[in-house]
Amino acid sequence: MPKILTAIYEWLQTEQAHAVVRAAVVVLIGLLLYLIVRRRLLRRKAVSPQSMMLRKAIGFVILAVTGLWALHELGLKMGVLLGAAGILTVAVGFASQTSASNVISGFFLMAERPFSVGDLIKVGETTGRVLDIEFLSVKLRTFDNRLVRIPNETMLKSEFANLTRFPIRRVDLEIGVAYKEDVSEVRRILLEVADKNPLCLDEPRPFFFYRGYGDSALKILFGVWATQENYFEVHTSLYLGVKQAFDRAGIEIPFPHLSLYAGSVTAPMPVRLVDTEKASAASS
Amino acid sequence: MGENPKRGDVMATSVEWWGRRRVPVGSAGRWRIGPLTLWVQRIEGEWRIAHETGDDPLDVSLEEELPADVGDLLLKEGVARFVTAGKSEEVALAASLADRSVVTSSQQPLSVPPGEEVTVYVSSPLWLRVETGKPGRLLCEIPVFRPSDTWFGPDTTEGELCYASRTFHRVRLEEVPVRPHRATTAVKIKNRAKSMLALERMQVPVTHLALYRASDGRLWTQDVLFERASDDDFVALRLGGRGKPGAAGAGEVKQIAGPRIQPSGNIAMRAFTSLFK
Repeated sequence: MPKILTAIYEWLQTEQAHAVVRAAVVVLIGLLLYLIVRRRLLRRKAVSPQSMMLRKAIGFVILAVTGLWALHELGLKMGVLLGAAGILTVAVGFASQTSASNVISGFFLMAERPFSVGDLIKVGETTGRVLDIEFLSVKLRTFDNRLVRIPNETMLKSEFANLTRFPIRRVDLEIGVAYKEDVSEVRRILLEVADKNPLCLDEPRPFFFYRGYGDSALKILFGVWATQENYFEVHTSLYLGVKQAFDRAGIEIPFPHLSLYAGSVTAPMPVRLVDTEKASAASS
Repeated sequence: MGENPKRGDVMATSVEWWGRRRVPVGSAGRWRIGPLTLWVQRIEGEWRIAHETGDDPLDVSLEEELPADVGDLLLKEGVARFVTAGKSEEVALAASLADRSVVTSSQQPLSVPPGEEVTVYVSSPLWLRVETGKPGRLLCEIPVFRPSDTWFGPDTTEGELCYASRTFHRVRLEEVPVRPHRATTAVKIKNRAKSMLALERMQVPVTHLALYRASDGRLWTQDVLFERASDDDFVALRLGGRGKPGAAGAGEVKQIAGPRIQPSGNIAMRAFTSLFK
């Protein structure tokens, strides 16, 4: 028998080898258990923050216990390890106050359940779908396909809106029409545009609100209800439909107007009609 | 199913527009059912289907052109293509009720005092199913006229998405027009509660109803009975017996489509709500 095989055989008879084998078995069993539990939990397809956190916590506990047990089998004194861990915890605790705050904020978010994975939320200037809810942060995918990570502490402190919590939503159109227009006719046309669009909900009824006198136009808020899935399509099709209907009816959507007034004391400003001068020069 | 009508035939409103038609490879057909125009083209290994919907929901036109000169359907907007390995040259047009409940609303609410009962007639739009082969495989389903979506519930956070149908909640059948692309439902309402029922909006669960054709050409659904026992919007729903729609006013009928969802036992549902304020 070659020398190396003899050496291996002799090593396998030692207590150290037995400890390594026991540790390897513990690691294998731990990993197997982790994979089984993970698969079972994933099959449930629950997407609430609580279930997401629970999945991760269970996985973390199984891996931690497996690791500690394997180290114990290798002969490491757990008392010493835990003592060291205690000192380390204090040190790490001072160094990771922000992370701890995020974790605790994450638990408060779990309890409050303001959103789930898949919801569309708006935090500050960022709007996106919730991809993941983790111990430290919430991850969003924005419409232009960027990943935005928002710390749980920020989520807890700041105001945010869940845009898909309820099944229907109002699409608001800010519309301005010229001062000369008949507002009741404008209202009739807007209601007709909404009525002809099958994706606009018939009930709740469209909302017409006269906001008052703007700088250049009469300001109107026209709100139409739609389902969450159709929100963007209704938004675009309504703006297009309103523009076409106004064009057909000859209703003016004015540009911003600017009137220059030099005051009563100042003499009137001279105005030269360029086209008229050109026309008279051509005729002479 | 009779023979294929001749090219460009205009059918009377009492004619069955559904049924099997033969569209040989290399040919096409055109159908006009109320506001809907449908083109079906059969080419080697493929079915092509296109449709257009007019603006007038009250249009009662019925036309069939078979074979029809449709040119290249691929140039039409929204054409749908379906591959088929089979040699079948038959296409089946089938009528069915809407795929969601229909909410009827009336500008003039009908009040039902406590202890009274009434039968109101409401109509709802039909869907056209295009099938091929035997047994029929569904290629596509198209509303003859797409009704508006509407929300049916106590507020904007709770409720159900339905189709809207404006109606007069008529109580005399002769006032309800016969249209080839709408089905009439007789809804019997028994108000056993102590309060007046103002019939502003009513949910008709058409997905649970079978569709019939009467000898006069009118399309009927199974009857619906709403029994209101308490002062809220909830009722006990019972469906009329199969084959006897129209509160016995339909006469002899023939079933042309079964319910989309088989009803199970007695159902309690929200049937009435007021308009959102």
